[in-house]
Amino acid sequence: MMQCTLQHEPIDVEALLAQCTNPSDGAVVCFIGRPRNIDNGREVVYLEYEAHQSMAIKELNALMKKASEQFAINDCIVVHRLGRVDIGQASVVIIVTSMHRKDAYAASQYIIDELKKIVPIWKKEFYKDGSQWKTG
Amino acid sequence: MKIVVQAFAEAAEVLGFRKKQFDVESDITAGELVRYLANSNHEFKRIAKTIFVAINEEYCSNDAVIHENDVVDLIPPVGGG
Repeated sequence: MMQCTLQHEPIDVEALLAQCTNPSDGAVVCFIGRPRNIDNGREVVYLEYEAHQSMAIKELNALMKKASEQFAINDCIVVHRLGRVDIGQASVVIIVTSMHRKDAYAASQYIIDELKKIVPIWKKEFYKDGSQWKTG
Repeated sequence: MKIVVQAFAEAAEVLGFRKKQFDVESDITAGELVRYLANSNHEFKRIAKTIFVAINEEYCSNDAVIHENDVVDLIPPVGGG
C-alpha cells in the first residue's frame, strides 16, 4: 500500500500506523517532522506551509515508487500538512514498513531527504516580530 | 501565443499574482520567461536566479521551449518537511 496526502488538519499518526497490517513486516519506521521553536537563535511562533498541490502529489508518488524500487519495502505512507502548523505538531509523517528494519530505515531517510529537495512545498516561519520563507 | 504562469510562495508574493495569463513570443524558453519577469519586477529580479521552472508540472531546464497554452510554474527553493 502506497499513499500520500496533503492536509490542513492535524495528522493522526496512530490511525496511519493502524493501516500497516502486513503480518510479514517485522519493521515499521515512523518519521515525524515537527517545527522547532528556535531557528538560528530566533523564537519561532508557528509555521505556514503551502504547496503546488497537484505537482506535489505527483512528485511524492514518483518518490515513493523510486523508494520501493531501491529498497525492499512494503507499505509507504507520506502525509504533509498545509496551512498553519504550531510548534509541537507534526508537519510531516513518513511511515515505511519492511520485512527487516534496514530497508525501512533507509527508505524513510531517502524519502525525507528527497522530499526536502524536490517536492514543491514551502514553509514560512513566523516570529514575534516578522516572518521569513525557509528552505530545506 | 498565450501561456498561463503560476507563481508560488515567495515568487507569488513578489510578483503579486498566483495565476496569470501572458501573451509571449513563440518559442520563448523557460529561462527567457524568467528573465522577462525579472526585468519587469525588481523584487522578482532579486530571487530570479533561485527559481526553478516546471512546464505542465514537469521540472525543466532553462532552455526548455514553452508552447502555446502551456502552464508554467515558477518554483522557489522548496522547504517541505
